[in-house]
Amino acid sequence: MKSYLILLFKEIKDFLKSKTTYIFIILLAIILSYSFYSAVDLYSKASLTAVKDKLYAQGFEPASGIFVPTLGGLFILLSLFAPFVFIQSLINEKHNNTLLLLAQMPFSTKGIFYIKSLSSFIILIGFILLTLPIFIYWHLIGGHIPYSEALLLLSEYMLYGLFIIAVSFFSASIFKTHAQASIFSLFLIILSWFIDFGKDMNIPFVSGITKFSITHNLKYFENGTFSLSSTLYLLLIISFLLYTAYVFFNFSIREKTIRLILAIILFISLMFINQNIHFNADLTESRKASFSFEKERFLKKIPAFTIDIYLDPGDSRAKDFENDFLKKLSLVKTNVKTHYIKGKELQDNYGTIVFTLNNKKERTFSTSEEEIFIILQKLSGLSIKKEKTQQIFPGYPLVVKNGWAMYLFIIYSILSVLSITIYYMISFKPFKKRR
Amino acid sequence: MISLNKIYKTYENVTVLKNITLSINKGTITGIIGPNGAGKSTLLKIITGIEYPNKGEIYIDNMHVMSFNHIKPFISYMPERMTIYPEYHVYEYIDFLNKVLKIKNTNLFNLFFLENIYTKRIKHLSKGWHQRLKLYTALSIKRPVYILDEPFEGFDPLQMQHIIEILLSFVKQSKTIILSIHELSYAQRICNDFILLNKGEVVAQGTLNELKEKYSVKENTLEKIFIKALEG
Repeated sequence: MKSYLILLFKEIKDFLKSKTTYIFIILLAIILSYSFYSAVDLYSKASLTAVKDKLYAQGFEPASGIFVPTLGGLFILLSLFAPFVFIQSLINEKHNNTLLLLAQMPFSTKGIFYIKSLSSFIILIGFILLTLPIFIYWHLIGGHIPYSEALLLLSEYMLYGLFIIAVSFFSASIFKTHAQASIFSLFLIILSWFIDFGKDMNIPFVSGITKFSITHNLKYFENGTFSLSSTLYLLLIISFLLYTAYVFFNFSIREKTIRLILAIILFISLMFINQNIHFNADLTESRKASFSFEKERFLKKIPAFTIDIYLDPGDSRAKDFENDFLKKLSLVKTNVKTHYIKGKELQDNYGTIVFTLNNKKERTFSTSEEEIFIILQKLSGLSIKKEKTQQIFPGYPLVVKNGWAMYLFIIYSILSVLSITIYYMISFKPFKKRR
Repeated sequence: MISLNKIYKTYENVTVLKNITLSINKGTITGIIGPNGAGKSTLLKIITGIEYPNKGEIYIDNMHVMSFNHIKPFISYMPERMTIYPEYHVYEYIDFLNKVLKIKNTNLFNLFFLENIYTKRIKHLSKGWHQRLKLYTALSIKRPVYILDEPFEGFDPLQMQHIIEILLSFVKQSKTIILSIHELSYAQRICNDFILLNKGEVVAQGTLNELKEKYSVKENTLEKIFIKALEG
């Protein structure tokens, strides 16, 4: 165990000795400070009117207004630069043949792989922690921090970072050089974005595949919704890629093909099981991903109902209906049956949505939430109570003094200088002591 | 101690090793000699368990060993191509080795004169010193058998003489050393046994005297035997 701890320290030291780690930190500092400055500037200008108007103020959420756009820079950096940081952990060892050296020491190849994954994870945590000055500074200038949304956002980046580590390890295990592995990593990452572009195509198969894209699953976190199935899906992908990387990396494994086939079968089976998990929780303070409290209470009281949709699934109205109504409905009621009608029936009634409850039917052309709740009240014979004032989200507009956001640049500049100092201390420390 | 029985190895339809059957005794230095491409490194990798033979068995102390994990407790291996962490200072690397391998005795460190390069960065070492560090690493891992692939590359004659003395001291401690070697004169100075490989086959195996007798060579040089054996 102690030997593995020594190996872990060595691995972390290897990251800290690498110039790419520091280039990443400096880029992160620049991008985060600039994104924060732009986000605060826009938010502040828009807040000028909102501070005087309570209704307008309700639209001001720090999570979507400040943190999501600021941390967007981290997404780009993790996608395009982090592979260069993480790939070297495996590829250098493979390229220099020192993996063989470590394997002859009291380490198993499995142990070496675990330690390399763990050290990469520790470095990733370090990168994520570098975003903390944003939250602290925002708080210091009087901003509100929605903690659950902020944590959800950070866990999104943690999962995405793990995905990047898994992709990097996968590429490093199948390619021999740093350049090949890096290009292949970028190819896989950009491919995962392209899959998401298919959601706007009117081809059912392509738009069906987009559900499996990484960005699609990360969107839940950004919107303030904790989706269990998305989280499990991302963890499954990460585990699958890491296991595949381990099989290719380990020279002492004989039946690689059999192991890979078994891993693929297991991965597909678990994916299938995961498709049937539907647990989502809206963690936003404004409850933007869910219905109001009184509407939820109403939905819980009424019996199960069915919705027949006479729209093509690719139709923009069908997508609006799914995003604005069905997603919210799934958080409260899991026993609602929805059908997309096909064939002649679809053509004859195109554009209508039919609700059936208590053997009574109502049809509408509208996809608006208000219109649908009027129909559901009519069908159920129950009514929705008026929302209490304390349950209404007040919104958090904030007017920031001109130039205050600029000070974050200084904080990140200090962090960058500090990181360069650490690099010099670790790499060029003059050694006086002799044996 | 180590025996190989009918080993075959093929890479993409090219047979690199054919019907290799041999045995290596405990407490000896066995030199694997042969022209370039004869299969010396592949044979060493198979004995080490890094490569798997397509056919055949390996026995260590009469125990059938199947993989690297089986072989690991018996063998320390120095590959021909290995670049030790170039960004490290020698002292950092030595500290790491000492901690992981629990080395308390500095005898080997002193024998290799590593004190002279202790504060240098590994990437700034000359080829000979880097090779010395590689060899030091392999010999620091305490195993009954040491497999060294081209251990003398990059050494000047003085360094070579010194390294030979270190290896001979290991044999005195009943360690077994198997090495692949190009320089026949050095091989003759250090090895007790020879395995001559050509085109993936064992052409001859034995002591210098046994080989001299087999190929009817009167001169006391391995070079003559080598040429005669290759001529068939």
